[in-house]
Amino acid sequence: MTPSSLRLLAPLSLSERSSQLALEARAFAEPFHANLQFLHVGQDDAETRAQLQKATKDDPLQIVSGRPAKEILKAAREQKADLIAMGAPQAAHGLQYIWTSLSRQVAREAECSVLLVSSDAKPLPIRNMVVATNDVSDPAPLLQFALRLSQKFELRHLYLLREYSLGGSDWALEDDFDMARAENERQRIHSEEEVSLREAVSNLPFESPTPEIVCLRGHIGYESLEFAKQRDADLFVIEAPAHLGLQDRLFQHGAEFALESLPHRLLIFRPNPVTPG
Amino acid sequence: MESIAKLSHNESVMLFLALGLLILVARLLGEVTRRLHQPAVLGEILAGVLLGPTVLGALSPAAFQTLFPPSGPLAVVLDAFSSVAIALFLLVAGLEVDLSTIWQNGKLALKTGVVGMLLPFGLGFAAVFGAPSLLGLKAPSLAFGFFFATALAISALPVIARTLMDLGLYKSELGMVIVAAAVFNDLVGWIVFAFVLGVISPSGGLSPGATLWMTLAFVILMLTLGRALLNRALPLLQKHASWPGGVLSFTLGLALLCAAFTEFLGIHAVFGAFLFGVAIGDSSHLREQTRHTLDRFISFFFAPLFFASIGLKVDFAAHFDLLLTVAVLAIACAGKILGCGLGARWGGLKWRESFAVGFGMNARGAMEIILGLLALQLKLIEPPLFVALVVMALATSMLSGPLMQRLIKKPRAPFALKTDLRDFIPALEVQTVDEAIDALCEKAAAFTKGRYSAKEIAQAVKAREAHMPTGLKNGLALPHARLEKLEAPVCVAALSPQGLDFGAEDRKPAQAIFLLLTSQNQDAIAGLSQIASAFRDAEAADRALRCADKASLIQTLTETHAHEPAANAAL
Repeated sequence: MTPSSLRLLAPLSLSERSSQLALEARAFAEPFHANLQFLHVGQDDAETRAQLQKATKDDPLQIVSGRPAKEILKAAREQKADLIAMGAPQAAHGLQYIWTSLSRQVAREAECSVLLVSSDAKPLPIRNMVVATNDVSDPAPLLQFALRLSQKFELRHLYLLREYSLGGSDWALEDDFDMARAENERQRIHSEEEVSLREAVSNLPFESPTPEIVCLRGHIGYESLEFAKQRDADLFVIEAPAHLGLQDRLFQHGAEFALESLPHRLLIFRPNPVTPG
Repeated sequence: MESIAKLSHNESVMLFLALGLLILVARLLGEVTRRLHQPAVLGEILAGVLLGPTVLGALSPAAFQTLFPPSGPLAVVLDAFSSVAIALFLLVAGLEVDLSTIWQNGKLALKTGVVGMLLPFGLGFAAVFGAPSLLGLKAPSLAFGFFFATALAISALPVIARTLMDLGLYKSELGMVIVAAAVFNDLVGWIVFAFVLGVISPSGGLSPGATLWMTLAFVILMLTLGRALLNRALPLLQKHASWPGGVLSFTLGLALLCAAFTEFLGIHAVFGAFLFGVAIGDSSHLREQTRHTLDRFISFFFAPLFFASIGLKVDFAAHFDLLLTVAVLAIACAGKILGCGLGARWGGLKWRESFAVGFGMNARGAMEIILGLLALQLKLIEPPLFVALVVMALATSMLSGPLMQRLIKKPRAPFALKTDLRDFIPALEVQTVDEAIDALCEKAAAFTKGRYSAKEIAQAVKAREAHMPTGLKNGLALPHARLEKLEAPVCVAALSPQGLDFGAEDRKPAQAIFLLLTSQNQDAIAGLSQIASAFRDAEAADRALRCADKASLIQTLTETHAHEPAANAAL
């Protein structure tokens, strides 16, 4: 894969944020020498083009009509995009979250990775990145992706997290009536998770900054989000669970926690069959 | 009415005497059965058998009648204690149900859970209506059919989790599928049972139809709006109320209110407590410490009281029916093992693994006993079937681990400090990390049966170290490498009095350096995590740094892992 084979799709609307979102898209496209394609879903007329070109400048702009989410997903599929970068309202609670927004719908249904830039995201550049792996899937593709991002951005802090849950084990451990042993067992599992992440990381040439490895126990997706918030991360990268349907919103896990309370920038990673890792 | 409105002086004395004896004997026998690597609940039930009609009632009927009278105010109070205990026990069971586990583990877990419920359910129905005499029935009823089918379909998450931990499979892909399927079984099983109760014993003037609709509405509300509200309330409570008192009172109070509501509906208090436990346990704001405190409080006091009280209600010797017990055991095992096995196979696992899942899910544990007791109280079943269900619950829990182990290819024993720590340098007099690695590799080469020279080993270890430093917290460093031709893991330890910079995150120089050479990834993970785990505690690390010889170092590092796992300790 040559760097120029990367494709980035950036949907823009006619809003005050267009210029900021175009900057964000370029910030991700330029270090990777990616082909950047802007997309607008709406009426194609001279006025619209003129307004959007203030943000898109010399980059290609495509205007299509139809339902925004459907058209964005269709364009991403047709153009074999590796990443969709778009803006999103900061938080969506209650019914708004359950019924979903345009950006969240794209994030859930896209076949490639999606970057959501919160409406009150910290200004660029990206200096502080949190990447969350979990105990459900193989961390290697996400770690490779994190490595590439860390090589392209001049990061100051890189946190590689491992989240794990011990569902159903508390009772089993506590009922042993031996608190010391229960604690040992928890520590052993914690160390095992930490060591396996370290081993996975050690196979990759992470250089500067040296990644900080952190293991978190609890609800997958929630603990890493809290960590990213505490560290005020510019970019929070999380793996997309196998599915992000209504049931996942009702019984939250994984990326859903982050989709509800959006951090500055959320990147939902999906290994792309066209341009892996 | 006056006579039962208040306990007499003598009855008060007897109440405290009975409760004290129940807890002490249950605890004592629970400890004995634990020592024998059997579940504590077995000892707790035996305590009830000893103090109940089976033994004490036979030896000294007068003493038994005085302590545990079958009727009167004292009997009512003891029964109330038992009802509260069972409701709180189910609250803890609900706390363990992590709903997202089911979605995270995808179709395989769902298929295993669904077929693992449907097949035993169907088999239960078939047995009730096809061969009622086998179950001692004169005329089978639909309500009994539903109860028996549910009793066969349910499984016990804590026993399953414990078994998986003992087998070292808890965090494996297979283990996570089993846990997720068990979560599904627990949740659906209790919901179905609540509906069965609603049909057979509606109360509060409600019709069966109204009971069913209200139960359905309660389930949906608790799992959606209730969960969301609790999730919002917990952070506020933790911020403004004293901890842990505030959260504990809130949790226990609301659990009992939910119990009161479901009791009003006629679907028994336990269901309300269980569903509340599921709703609050799913909150990402519920602190681990709160769960532990609740769990300890209930496990140490209410659970033994409840399980011991079971033996007081039934004469186990008089009602033991061998044929019935064997029949129940056979139907239960066939349904669950086949159901979960076929579900897992459908989900994509190999036959052998699929049936390992089946055996793992076969454990019924305390859930079965509670289900049976509720049915007994409602006179839905007779004491002989209850005794058969208790025996089946205990037998399936005890057999689950060993049978599962037989089916799963037992992995070669993973890294063990006792055998794999080959050499020890109590005072390593070197100045640099490279020199330390060279010195350790020199020692390690002697244990590779000539397959690797010290130089080759050092090269591999330094290459790994260059990728990412291996310094960890509390003055530990774990330089390591994978060497394909090694037959067994080789570990060499050294203590460096001045400490060396292995790039630990806490910037502490490494004073304990463990070189680990393995041929397999599994050994590396097991070895590194065993050593790292022992050093997570600063005090333990400090003790290890004072060791003067290999034997004492092994003893220090392994004493935290020395306990033999008690098979099926948690029911």
